[in-house]
Amino acid sequence: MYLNVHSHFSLRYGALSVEELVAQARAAGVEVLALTDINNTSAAYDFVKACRDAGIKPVVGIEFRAENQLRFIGLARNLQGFQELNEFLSHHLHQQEPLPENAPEFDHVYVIYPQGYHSPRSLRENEFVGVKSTEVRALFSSPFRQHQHKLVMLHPVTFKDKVSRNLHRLLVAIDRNTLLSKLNPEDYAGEDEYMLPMDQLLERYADYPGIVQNTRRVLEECNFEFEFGPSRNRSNFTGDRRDDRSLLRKLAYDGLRYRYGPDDRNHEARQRVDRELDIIDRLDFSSYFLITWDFVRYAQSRNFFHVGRGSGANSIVAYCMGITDVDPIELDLYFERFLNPHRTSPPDFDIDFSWRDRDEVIDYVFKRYGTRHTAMLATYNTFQSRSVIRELGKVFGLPKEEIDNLVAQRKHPSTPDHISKLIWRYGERLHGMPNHLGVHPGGILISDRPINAVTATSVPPKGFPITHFDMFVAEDVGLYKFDILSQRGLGHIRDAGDLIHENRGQRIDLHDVQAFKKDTKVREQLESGKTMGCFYVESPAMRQLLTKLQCKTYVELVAASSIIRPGVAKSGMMREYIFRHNNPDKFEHLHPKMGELMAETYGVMVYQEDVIKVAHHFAGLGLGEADVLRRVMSGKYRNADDKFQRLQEKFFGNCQAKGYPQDVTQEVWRQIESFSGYSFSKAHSASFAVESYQSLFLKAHYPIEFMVAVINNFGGFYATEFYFHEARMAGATVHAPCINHSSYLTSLKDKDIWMGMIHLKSLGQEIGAGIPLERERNGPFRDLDDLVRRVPVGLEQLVILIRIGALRFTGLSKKALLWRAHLAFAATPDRKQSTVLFAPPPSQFSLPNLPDDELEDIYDQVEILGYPIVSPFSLLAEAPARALAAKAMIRYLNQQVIMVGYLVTTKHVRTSNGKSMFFGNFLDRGGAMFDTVHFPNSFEGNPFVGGGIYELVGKIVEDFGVPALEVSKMRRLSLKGDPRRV
Amino acid sequence: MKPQYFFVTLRTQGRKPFLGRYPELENIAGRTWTDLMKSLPGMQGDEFGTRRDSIIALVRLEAYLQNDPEDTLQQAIEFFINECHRKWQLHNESRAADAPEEVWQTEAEIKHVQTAEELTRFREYILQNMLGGGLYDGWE
Repeated sequence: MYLNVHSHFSLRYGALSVEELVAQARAAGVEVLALTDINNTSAAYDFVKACRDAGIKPVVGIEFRAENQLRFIGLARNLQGFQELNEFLSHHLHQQEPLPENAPEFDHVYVIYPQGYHSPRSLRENEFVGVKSTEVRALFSSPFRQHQHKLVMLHPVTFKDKVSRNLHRLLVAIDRNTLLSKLNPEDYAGEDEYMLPMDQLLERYADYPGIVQNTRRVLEECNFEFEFGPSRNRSNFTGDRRDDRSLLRKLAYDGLRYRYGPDDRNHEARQRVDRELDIIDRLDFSSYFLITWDFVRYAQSRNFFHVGRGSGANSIVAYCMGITDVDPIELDLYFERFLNPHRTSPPDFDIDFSWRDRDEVIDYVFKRYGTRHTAMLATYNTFQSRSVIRELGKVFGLPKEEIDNLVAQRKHPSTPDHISKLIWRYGERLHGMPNHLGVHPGGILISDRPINAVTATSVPPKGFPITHFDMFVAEDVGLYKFDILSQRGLGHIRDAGDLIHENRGQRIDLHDVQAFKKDTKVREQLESGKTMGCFYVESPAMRQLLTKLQCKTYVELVAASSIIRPGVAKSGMMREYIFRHNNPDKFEHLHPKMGELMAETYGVMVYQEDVIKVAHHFAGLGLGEADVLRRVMSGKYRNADDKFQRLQEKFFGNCQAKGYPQDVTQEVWRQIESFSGYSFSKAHSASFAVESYQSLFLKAHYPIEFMVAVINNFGGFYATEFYFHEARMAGATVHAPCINHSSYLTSLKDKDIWMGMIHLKSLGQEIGAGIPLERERNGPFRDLDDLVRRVPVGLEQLVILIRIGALRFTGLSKKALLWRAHLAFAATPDRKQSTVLFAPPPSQFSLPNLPDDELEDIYDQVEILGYPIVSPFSLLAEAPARALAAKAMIRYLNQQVIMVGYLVTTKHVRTSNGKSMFFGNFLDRGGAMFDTVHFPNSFEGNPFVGGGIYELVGKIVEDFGVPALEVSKMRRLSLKGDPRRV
Repeated sequence: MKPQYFFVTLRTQGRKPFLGRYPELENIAGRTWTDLMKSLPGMQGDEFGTRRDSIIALVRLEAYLQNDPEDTLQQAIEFFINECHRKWQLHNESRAADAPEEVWQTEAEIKHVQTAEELTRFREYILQNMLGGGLYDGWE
């Protein structure tokens, strides 16, 4: 009998979860319950499920509010009614039109207005006015007294007790960005908006039984008969399922010949293609493959690069269709890992595009399949502990400094004052509650019926329409997502290809990965860990791993891509894997079965599917259960705690029954647990490895073009400075930005790299991009005055350009240019000047000879770019002691040495007893990189004190043949003084 | 030749207390002066302060600019006035503040600092007499 209930998906308003609401309803003896969240439908399906589980009839609707004014409540009489509501809300959310006071003419919706806005005669047949229990007495003198057939009970539910009412008020204050004390009573819910036991509720309307009857009738006539389970995805690609099947078969066979050669040589592959096609057809996934193929084909037509990864890379059909570049036969990948009748979750393709191209592909999908049938998935952005403290601090009126202190404490202050206590108490309650809807990084749904049949949609700023539910609910609803993701690695591969063409006139087939795998230079580079800039294999940890493994082959790289993940590394299995790889005759398997199951990886669990193999074959869990375990491990399961506990018990029980020693079972389980949230599937690792090979090939043969492409895509592991360094090591000459040579991005001519204007951060994009554009249109700039005339550059920007040397082509010193810049500005006629205030510049003002100073130039570079363009060692004030070069380290094992290095990166870790230690990377004077280890006892007395050049004293140690300096003492060396400051 | 120091005073039109009245103007003047001193080779800012009706500053001039130091400094002051005026106008456009359009006199008073003791005295003078970000309006 409650037809206006809010969950916390009445964002920044409702204080109760769906579970709490349903539990309340059950306790109150409620038989029918209507969820009407404010302008939102996120909770609808969870609500329906929870009600059905609790034996309550669910009714679904929406409360339409504009500017905090209740306009009306819409209750869906059936599924069509829900679609009508969703369409109406989505239209207003998309167009940002205020919701009207009157509902439109709905066919399958009951509308309930608040009292006081509509006369009884103006109401349509499906429209009512809601009477709050506090308004019952006033009915006596109301015109509605004579029209009781148009009245229903309206007792909204927003919270359940005093504490949750406070939460509600805090949420409203956060939403308004105002002080709690400044909220007006009409801003928040009335104090009785909680659920009363049914008898008490009915008692309040006892004088008007007609109203109760109307309410009962309305709710009885609302039936949300939604069936969970059946697919609601676009059912076919061509318009007909049989045609889909034929097209898929044709495309797979065409690709088969391209990938595996003519028919007389592709027998094994053909058999597998046939088997997969059969399963795909049986499980009705032809359209899923064809739609993916369709947008990949579009991307290819636009010369966009892509990588197909995720479990979809297990499929040979996907490989033949060009969706993925991973050969599942070569890697012995199981198609069933992607698609099988036992799978507990929908399979998905993850398709990556360059960050520059991704949105265009998404736009294509929206246009190709229509906005009525396409939407991005939402995510629920929840209140997080630090942000909620900040928000609450504001609504309680704390000054910024106090809020900063509270946030910085991260835990309860030891002696909190009254307000701090309240903030912490309510902060904990708000933590994890939905705050607003976000956009899933790449999940797109394409539905058979209009998307509004199942959800309303919103449009985030500068974005595509999003559903109101997340990926978990989408799965329940029967919608499988296509993941169209963005990454930077692909950007640099594509750009490198273009640069090679521009600079050398050569076209590279970047999809000829088989050739890259056999390339000697690529192998040498991989084996020696010289992989800076290469996709996924450039971090210091990965470079070390590759060197320790002496990684030579694609298959080894696939394994390395997975064991570098934190779980495997932390559990000690990475180390074990390296040992076994280097000593294949000197280890024993934990259990012979482990060796059998993971023969390729020396009995070490490396991939997600290893969890399935071990759970199924070692511990005797069913395949479905093993898959659930895998999903729980990878964090893709909601409410996983119970399931995890149950599976763990079964795992141990089965192992005991099989007679395994307890310590072996325990150790296997520990290794499984270490996979939690971090592991890759083999197919996923293989997809990454393909992309790594493309990068490696480009770096091996076209290092300068490659590094420029990396620089232009940003977002690599290292700071940009070190990619310029790497390019210089490959023989390039790096030039500071120049207004007559540089583009907005960094450009290349032969071996000359011209730093792009984009690196001059304070210049701003308009001027940074405007200068090259103007030069392209009207020719090179003659001098400073010419620049000032042609480009609307400000004095501050001009000063930056001069100081970085961007006008050095003029032949004038920077000092002279700076004076001239000020003179030019003083003389520019279109600057607003007052003749009274500003006399023209003295025409006779003459400049003395102002020579440049190299050291000043370097300091200018450091100030403007953040790093010097020349070797940082040229800034050293003191001649360092004789220092060991990185390449000689291996010859000085276990010896005390001195090294001098320019700091590249540090990585902080905590030891088992909680102390800080670091791993460092430095460049030596010759530009070669070396690694350092800083144990707590060394680090505590010799901390890092920021970037710069350090003198490091310590012992050379090695691990699997890779040397590192175990630092016992270090100090940052002093630099020559900045001549610009005295 | 060694670098030399100069004490510069630039007053407002009619010695009106614009800088005391408009903290934004004081802010703009401070930032403009600092930027200018950074971007003019051979010239370096030392102490700088704003009073209600003027700015006071010490400037260090490298030897190579000392042929005609007053002319050089006067030129720099003109750059300052120009840039400050531009920023102030921009500020007023966005805020529509009831503020003067003409702020500064055209010429500054420039005094050559002769000794180290004098330099110390000037530094102290500036520190003692500056407005301080609008916080001490009326303090003088």
